[in-house]
Amino acid sequence: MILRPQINDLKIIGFSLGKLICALGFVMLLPVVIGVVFSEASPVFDFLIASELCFISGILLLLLCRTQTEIDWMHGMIIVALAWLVAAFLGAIPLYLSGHFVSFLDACFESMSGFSTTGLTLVKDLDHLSLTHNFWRHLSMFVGGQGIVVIALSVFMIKGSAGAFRIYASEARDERVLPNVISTARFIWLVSIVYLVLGTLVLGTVGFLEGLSLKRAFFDGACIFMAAFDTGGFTPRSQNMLYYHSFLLETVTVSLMILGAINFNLHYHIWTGNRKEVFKNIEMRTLGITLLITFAIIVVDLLRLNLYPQSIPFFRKGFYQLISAHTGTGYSNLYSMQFVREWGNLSLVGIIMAMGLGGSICSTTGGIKALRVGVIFKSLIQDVKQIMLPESTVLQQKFHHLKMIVLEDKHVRAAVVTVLLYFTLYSAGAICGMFFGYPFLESLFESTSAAANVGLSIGITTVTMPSALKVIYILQMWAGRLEFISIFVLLGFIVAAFKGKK
Amino acid sequence: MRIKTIGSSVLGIIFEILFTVFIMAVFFIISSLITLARVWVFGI
Repeated sequence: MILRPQINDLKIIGFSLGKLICALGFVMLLPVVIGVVFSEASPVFDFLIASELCFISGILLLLLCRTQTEIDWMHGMIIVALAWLVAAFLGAIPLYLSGHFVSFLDACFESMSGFSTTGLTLVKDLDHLSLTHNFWRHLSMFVGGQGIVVIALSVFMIKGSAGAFRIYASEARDERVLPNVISTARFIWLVSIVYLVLGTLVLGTVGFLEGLSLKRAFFDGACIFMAAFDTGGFTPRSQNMLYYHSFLLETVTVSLMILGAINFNLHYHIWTGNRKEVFKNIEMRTLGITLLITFAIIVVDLLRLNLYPQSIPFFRKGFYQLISAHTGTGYSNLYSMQFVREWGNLSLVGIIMAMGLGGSICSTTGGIKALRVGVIFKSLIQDVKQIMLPESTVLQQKFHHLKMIVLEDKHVRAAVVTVLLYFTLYSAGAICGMFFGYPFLESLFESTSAAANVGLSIGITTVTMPSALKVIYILQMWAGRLEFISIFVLLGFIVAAFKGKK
Repeated sequence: MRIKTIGSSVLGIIFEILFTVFIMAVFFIISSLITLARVWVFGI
C-alpha cells in the first residue's frame, strides 16, 4: 500500500530544493568573475541573468515551502533526483544565451552532460565559445563530480542532521569518510581543491611549455583539471586532447583520471598514513584486474590490425582510450570516426566493457563500479568453495574494503541489483539507438558512454541526431549518475500522488 | 598534531601521484614488451 503524499511532503521537498537552487545561483557567479577577468561583457550578463533566475526561483520556493520538519529517506531521494534535473535545466540557460546551441534541448543536454560528468557535447563551434561559457561547462563538471548536495552541505546550508546524511546518501554516495556528513563533504572539497591547485599549476606549466600563451595555458589547465579529476571529459578545444598533441599533457591527465577514480574514503586513508590500504582494498584490486583484462582485449585487436606498430603510439592511443573509458572520463586523443574506421569490433567491445565497469564508489566516476564487481566475484568464489567442501562446512568469505568485512547476502543482493539495472540501462539505450537506425555496436557504445557518464563518442552524438535520442541520453546520464534508486523513488512518489491511499 | 596531519597529507599526495605513475609505468612496460615480442617472435 502506498500513501498519497501530503502537502507537508511537498513543502519539505520544495524547501530543500530552494536551498539547492540558491546554492547553484552562487556557483553561477564564479563564471562572472572569469568574464570580468577576460573582459567578456555579454557572457557576464548571461550568467547574471541565469544566477538571478536561480535566486528568484530558489527564494520563492523557500518562502512558499517554509518548514522545520526533518527530511526522511523518501524526501532525500526525491530532492536529489529533482535537484539534478533542475540544475541541468537552470545550468542550460547561460549556455543557450551564448548562441552556440541549436536549441534549448541541446543546451540542456550539454548541461546534464556537465553536471553528470559525462562529457558528450553538442556545442557548435566550440573554439569560438567565450571563455566564460567554456569555464561554466567545466565548472559544472567540477560541481557535479563532487555532488550538488555536497556543495550545499559543505558551504552553508543544511546542518549536520540525519536529514543531511539522507540527502547526501541519496546522491549515489554509499559511504561517508568521516562520522559527520558535513565533515565528509568538506573533506571531499579539501581533496578536490588541493588537487585543483596542484593540477592547474602542472597543466598550465605544461601548456605554456607546449606553446600556449600564459593566460590561455592556465585557463586550459584549470578547465582540463576540472574535467579530468572529476572524470568528466569536456575540453576547452573542439578536438578534445588531440588538439594539444602533447605526450606530457596526456601523461598528466592519465594521473588525474586515476586519482579521480579513487574512492574519497581511500584518499582519506592514504592522506592519514594508511597507505597499505591501496594494495589491500578490494576495489583497487578489482580495478587492477579489470584494467588488465580490458587492456588485453584491446591489445589483441590492435595487434591483429597492426594499427600502432611502435610501442609509444601503441601506449598513447591504446592505454589512453582505455584509462579514459575505465575511469569514466571520456578524454580522447583519437577522432570519433577513428573508432569506427580503424579500431576493430573487439577493441570497441573492450572499451565498452571498460566504460560499463567504471571506477570506485564514492568517487567521481560512473558505471557499475569496482566494489560491486569485486563483491559479486567474491560471492562466486564462496559458492564454488561451498560446493567443493563437505555439506556441513560453514564457509565465511571476507573482503577488505577499508576494514575486513564478512560477505553477507545483503552485500551481494545490492551489488547484483545495481549491476542488473546498469545492464538494463545500457541495453535500453542501445535498443533506442538501433530504433533510430544506428548499428548495434555503435548504439551500444554511445549508450554505455552516456549511461556510465563516460563521454567517449563514436560519432552518434552530434547536433543532427534525433531530438528523442537526445532526451533518452539526457535521462540515461541522469539515471546513471544517481544510480537509479532516487529516480525510482521519484517515480513512486508521482504514482502515489495519483493512486496512493489518502 | 596539526603539523603531523599536514605532513601526512603531503606524503599521501606524493604517494598517490607515485602510485598513478607506477600504474602508467606497468602498462607502458607491457606495451613495450608486446611490441618487442611481436617483432622478435613473429617477425612483423
